[in-house]
Amino acid sequence: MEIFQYSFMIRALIAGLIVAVIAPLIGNFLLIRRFSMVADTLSHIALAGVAIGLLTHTQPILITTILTSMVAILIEKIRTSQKIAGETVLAMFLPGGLAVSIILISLANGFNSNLFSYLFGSITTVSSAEIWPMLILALISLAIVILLYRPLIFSSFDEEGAKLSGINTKLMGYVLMTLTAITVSLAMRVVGILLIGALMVIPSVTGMKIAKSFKQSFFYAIAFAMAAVLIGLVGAFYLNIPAGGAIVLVSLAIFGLTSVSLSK
Amino acid sequence: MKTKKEIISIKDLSFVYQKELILHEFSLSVIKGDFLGLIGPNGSGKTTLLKIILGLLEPTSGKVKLLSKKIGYVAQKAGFASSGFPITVEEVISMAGGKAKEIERVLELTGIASKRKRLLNELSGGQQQRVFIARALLHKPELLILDEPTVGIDSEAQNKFYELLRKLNREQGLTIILVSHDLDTVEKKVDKIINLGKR
Repeated sequence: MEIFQYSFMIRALIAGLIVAVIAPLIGNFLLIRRFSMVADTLSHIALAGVAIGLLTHTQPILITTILTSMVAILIEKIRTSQKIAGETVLAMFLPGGLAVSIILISLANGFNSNLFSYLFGSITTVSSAEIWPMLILALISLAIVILLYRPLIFSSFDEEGAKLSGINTKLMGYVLMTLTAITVSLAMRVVGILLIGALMVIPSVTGMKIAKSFKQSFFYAIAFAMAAVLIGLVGAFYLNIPAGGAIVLVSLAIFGLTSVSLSK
Repeated sequence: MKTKKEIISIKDLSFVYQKELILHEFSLSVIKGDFLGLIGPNGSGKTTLLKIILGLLEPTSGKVKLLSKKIGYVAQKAGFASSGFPITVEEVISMAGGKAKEIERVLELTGIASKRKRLLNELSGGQQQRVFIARALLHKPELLILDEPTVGIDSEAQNKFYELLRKLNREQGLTIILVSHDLDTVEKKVDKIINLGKR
């Protein structure tokens, strides 16, 4: 295919496929915790990380990973204290992240094209230097999920039961939130800060509609996310439209087609 | 003659939550092999008592002595049972660990071996409860605690459910504490009744 003659498209495809594996993998756990909105909240925190990065001329992905991880742990700490409901915590942190971002962006003399590439994604401008940290972070996340699969699934489905079985449910909560933060940081260049939540949730929801076991739902979710990245990227190239938006729209189309075929 | 081994000893237990006295100087002795019904209306402190026994809550005063750490617990209604998430019977049980042989044993014991590959949300309420009992039995507990296990289950399924508990109590020597608000049904099914509502 013509598009794969361009090295920037090869890099875009690699970055997209990395995110397509990790985003639904973590998204599945968030869905069963009924905490999928945390991805959107953390993406607004990520915007503040990007603004700090641009303001201080440091690598935004590094700052974003550290900042979103810290806030993710703080959100989990407040949620498990049971003094404030989980969704209320998210409703506070989401505008909080946005407010900090707006102030920082104004200090950095407003919007520029670099900031837009994080807001809406700019997968075709991903550099080789960005691919490697993405791959390493993704592999670490994957290894953690494989190693902690049983305690993660038990504490996500049934927190009280897991606690009584001797599982450190608090630790599992922190691990999952940190993995979510890492995923948000990885995905922001691919689909953009404003669309990350969609890539973490839509393929997982679609996978769960047709899966015949929880393990199977991971495979379907990853396959749907990969298909969305591939079709979205090719479509964006030929139609000259933004790749992030195209990927999410394809993801939604797969969900729609799956729902229609199941209802027949 | 067998000596009666005490498995739980509770003396003068009181529990205060937000200045409200939930439990007042409550005492209880559970003997190994007991099939005990803990009954009382909503708000009588049944779930609080269970949580104290399970170590999830600290009593305000009094002593709770557990002479076995091997406790299986079946919650009132596992939230994900009706969530629609695709999880199989085998996956629910294996969450608690255990080798394939152990999982096989509890599947057989609870009579759901033929349903192992089925999705949890495709099963009836009674069958779902068997799945959670199977999971609670995985690590061979000496004591099984069930919190309102028959809520939302029809009477025929309830009878089968109590038959299973009776079998586990007699054949496996399992000590059972069953919490319910349904005095009429429970008093016919268990050996001893503790009524928290009368305290």
